[in-house]
Amino acid sequence: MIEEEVGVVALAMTVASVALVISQVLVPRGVVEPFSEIGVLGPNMMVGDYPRTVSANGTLNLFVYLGNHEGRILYYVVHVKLGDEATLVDDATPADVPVVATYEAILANGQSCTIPVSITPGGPNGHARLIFELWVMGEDGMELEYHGRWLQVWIDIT
Amino acid sequence: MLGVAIAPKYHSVMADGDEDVEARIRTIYVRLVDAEKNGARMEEAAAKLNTALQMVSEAHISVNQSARSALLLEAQRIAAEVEASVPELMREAENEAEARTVLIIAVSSALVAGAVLAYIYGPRIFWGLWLRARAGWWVERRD
Repeated sequence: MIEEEVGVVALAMTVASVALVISQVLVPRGVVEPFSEIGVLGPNMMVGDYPRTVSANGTLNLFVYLGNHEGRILYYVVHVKLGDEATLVDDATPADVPVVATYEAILANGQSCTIPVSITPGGPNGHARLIFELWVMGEDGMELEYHGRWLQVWIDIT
Repeated sequence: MLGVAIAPKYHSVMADGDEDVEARIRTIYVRLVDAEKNGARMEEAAAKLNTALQMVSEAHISVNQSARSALLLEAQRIAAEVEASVPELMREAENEAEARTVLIIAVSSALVAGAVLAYIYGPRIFWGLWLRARAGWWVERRD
């Protein structure tokens, strides 16, 4: 009787091990919470050393950092737009102002890159707002989708 | 999410050479997306394609015509290299999937065999060890 019980316990432990090992092997390569990163860095590639003023014909040199943690390859497009205090932009709606520059990157899951950005804002504006929007290329390679991530740098264009 | 067609916007700001290469890069990107869905690893191909894309961007702002042509040519070469690697990536993915199936079957079989052996010999081994652990004991009988 006791011998049978011990046998059943040994069998149960082995079956549990089988289930554990197989589940580990079968778990697909993926991410639990997919997300993309976008960051704007100053001319020295540091966060926070952004220029505050720029002349109308001057060039603003910054860097855009992109990181892919979406669990799949993505074609990112960063639209740089020039707006002001009245410009509306949020996670669902991109700013309805002209694009002044566009930067692109193709990243596999886990990859990141830093892209140098040079912008000539033009036209004096005391409270200009440089808006960086993250867009992604659709899987058909034909259509851009707003990814809902955006950043801004306030500048005084003299 | 908001979607917009990409072609008209780029048409207005890019020269023909840039656009050709960029269109090709987008086509290759679509192929890479498909390959990844089939299990192909993307790190190297994506890095190369991104390099080609950055070269096109550089060419786009370059004022030196010869440097611009050289950049576009190199971008095209890299893009072609990535495109050529897609079938190999797919093959590797297929091989990896097959190897994983074989591994799962092998591990499952080994563990099932282990379970049967444990069921048959487990009690014998357990009690054998139990007896050995208590081999030196004296049992006193009290009436």
